[in-house]
Amino acid sequence: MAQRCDVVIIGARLAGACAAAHLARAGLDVVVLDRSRFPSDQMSTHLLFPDGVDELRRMGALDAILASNPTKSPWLQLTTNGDAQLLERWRQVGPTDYCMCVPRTIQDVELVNAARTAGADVRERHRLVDVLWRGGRASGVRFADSDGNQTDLEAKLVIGADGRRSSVAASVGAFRPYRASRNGRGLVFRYADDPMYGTREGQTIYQWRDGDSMAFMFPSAPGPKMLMLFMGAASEATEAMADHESYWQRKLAQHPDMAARIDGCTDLTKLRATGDTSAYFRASSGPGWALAGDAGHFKDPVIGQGQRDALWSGRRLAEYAIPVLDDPGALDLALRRWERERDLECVHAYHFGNIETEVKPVSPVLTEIVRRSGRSRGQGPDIGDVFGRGRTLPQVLTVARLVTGLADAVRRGTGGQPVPTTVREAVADLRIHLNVRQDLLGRRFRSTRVVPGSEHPDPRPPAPTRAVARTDRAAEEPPTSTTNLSPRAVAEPTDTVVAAG
Amino acid sequence: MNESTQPRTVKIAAIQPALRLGEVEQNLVRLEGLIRDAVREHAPAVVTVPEAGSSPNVYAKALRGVARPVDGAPMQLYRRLARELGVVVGGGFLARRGRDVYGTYVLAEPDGRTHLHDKDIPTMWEQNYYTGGDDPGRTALAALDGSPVGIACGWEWARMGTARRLRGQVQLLLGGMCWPSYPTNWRGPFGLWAAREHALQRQHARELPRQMARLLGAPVAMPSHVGPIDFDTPLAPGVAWRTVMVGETQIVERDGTVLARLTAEDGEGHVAATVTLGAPEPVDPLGPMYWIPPLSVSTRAAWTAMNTHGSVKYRAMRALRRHPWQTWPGGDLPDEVGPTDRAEEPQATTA
Repeated sequence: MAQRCDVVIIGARLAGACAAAHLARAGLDVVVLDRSRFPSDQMSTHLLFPDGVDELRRMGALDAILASNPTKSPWLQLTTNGDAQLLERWRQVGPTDYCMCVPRTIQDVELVNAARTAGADVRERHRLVDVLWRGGRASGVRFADSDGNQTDLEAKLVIGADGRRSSVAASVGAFRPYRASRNGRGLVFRYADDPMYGTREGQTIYQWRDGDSMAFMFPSAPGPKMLMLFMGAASEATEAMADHESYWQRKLAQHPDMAARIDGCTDLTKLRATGDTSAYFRASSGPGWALAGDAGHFKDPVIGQGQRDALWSGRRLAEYAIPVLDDPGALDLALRRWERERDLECVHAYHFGNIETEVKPVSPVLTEIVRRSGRSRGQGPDIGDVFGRGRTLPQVLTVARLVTGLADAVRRGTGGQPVPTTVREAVADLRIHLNVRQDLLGRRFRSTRVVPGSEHPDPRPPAPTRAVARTDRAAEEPPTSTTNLSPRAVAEPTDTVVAAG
Repeated sequence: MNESTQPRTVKIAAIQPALRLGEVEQNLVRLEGLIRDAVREHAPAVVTVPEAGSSPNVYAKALRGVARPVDGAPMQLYRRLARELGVVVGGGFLARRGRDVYGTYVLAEPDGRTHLHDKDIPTMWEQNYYTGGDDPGRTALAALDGSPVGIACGWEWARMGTARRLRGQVQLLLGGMCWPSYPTNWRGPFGLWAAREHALQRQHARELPRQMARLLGAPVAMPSHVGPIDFDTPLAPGVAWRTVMVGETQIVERDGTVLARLTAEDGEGHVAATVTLGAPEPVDPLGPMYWIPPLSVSTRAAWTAMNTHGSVKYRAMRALRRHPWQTWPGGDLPDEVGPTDRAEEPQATTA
């Protein structure tokens, strides 16, 4: 006999746990199924800007995460080519004015605990078999427990929060993105103990841009842990896995400021890497179903927005669904409106990620914008707003600012680059920014128009997770940390892939 | 025309549902039950339900809320049942497509192909709720070896122009009918007049499938709504229009032989028959008339008046953004969608 609940959620990490916590707190009967047993690792940039941290507070998970002694990072330092530099504070969101970077093994178990505390029934090591349908609407799921026993669970709403290779997306027919852009950069990272823990430098998010490579350092948890990250060309993921230390030393030589900052660090972990971070939008709502977090939309992790957007989308989905859950027609309409709001919330960051993932030398214009910001804006939030979502990319990089940056670059000598080349590149960049603005102003729902300069259509979106046999007993599988490899990632000897940038 | 040259037979099931005004989700559940039952009982290659499968099309406030996204629950129902049951499933609904709502009819094939047709002229009060399409109402079904098939909705079945457009072009006509009759609750002279018109409407509905089959020289399957229905009288606020759907679900061979039929008195149910697909062999000549059946003067007058009223109101509300569906995020699907994997169904997007 089928079980019943109000909402069933597949996936208990960021989007799933956040939606579950808000739905359960509203008094709804919520069941969350996840194939992992927590604590469980997941590839991720791990970074949360102040608005993301505030989402943790709103869902009730922040206090428990803070108990793991993460370093709070209220500062951003951005350096380009060892020349221009800015140091600023993050814009405050609610009571939160700091970033956090907490390993998923620590963070996600607290997300699950918060959902359970709110009243959700979180079932670990349970896997989706199929979505059930009635009258053209998703009406529940069939799942397999850890012993392989299959059960039908009827629900008014089915939420897929099961990541890039979402089984729910495949079951509802929404797996193929209607809009996608391939990544240019890969991700290579490791943890270590920070020699500057406890100082202002130990509470700063660092970003170094040298040549065509980017490097990052995020204070992490528990202190004095820190995360060190390189984002060079996607092919570097393969290089890094082939020879960890040679790669690491080569990148430190490329980023001397980073090498100086982490000098003396201890307890280095092994490298992890991925080159599979293509960005996409999937149709994320339909009759009786919705796709939250990475299941519905993914953007390049180079801008570190994935965790925040997953939490945000889970909360907003719950807020849209709660008042209309008993009216199927109104619910379907609310889900579509939620999807539109998600797109409007995320599409500028999607373009930002697409622009940032292109592997090319730091623009002299950007260098001058950073220099001018560092010199004239004091330590209040400015450039960091584009990461902290205080303002959108067009609001931060205004046309006037781009033009001023170009004038400064020409006056200063464009870093050795011929002036005509700099002007030509600046005009090309300006055209991309104008294309992005046009796309944002269009506000087209599920737009399929390619934005030149930003989007590079990806013919190879991630492949769906292997489905559980509909009637057979489910085979045992390890947790998700090493199972969500796309064909491309498998072909390259990387050890795992990003699920939530 | 991509038809096979040798005649072949195909079994078609047609469903006559009794649906409730405005109750879209319940109606779709009911349709699913009827489709499954029809497939179980008849094992057809094609099963069709009427136009307006999400709700009967009448003049009522409830109609303002029955349109659904073109990739919404009605489309999902037809698509998913076609794939699951391995049959062609046909059915209609009011679909938001791009910037308008249309009376859309779907033919969904087991391999994921879908073919959409938008009714060309909404009938009378229907003009209040959607606008007409401009596609030719012709497609080819891979499940029938590429046989060319026509699609007609409502009074598209009743117009000589439809026969003219499809004659010689199709080997089979599918689609459906939603035909509420004249009021049966009026009294006095109006009651006598309405009773006479009601009898004429039933006669026309009974004769139409056979007439169209002979004009096209191709078999037809016309599923129709059935059952009592109450609504408001257009241009007469406060006057109730209580009547019945005329029924007359029929499957007719290309020579006009009625192979299967459900009348209004038969109520809800389904029938099936095996028809012959082959080169079209029209039996009757096309005429110069607008209507195939000799509609009464009062019906023609009502057609003109209500079409004008409804169309003006639809456009005015659209300009003022008063249609509820105008607040939805839009999107559209192409009329023809090729075979798709189950995990990658086409979704409504904006170009």
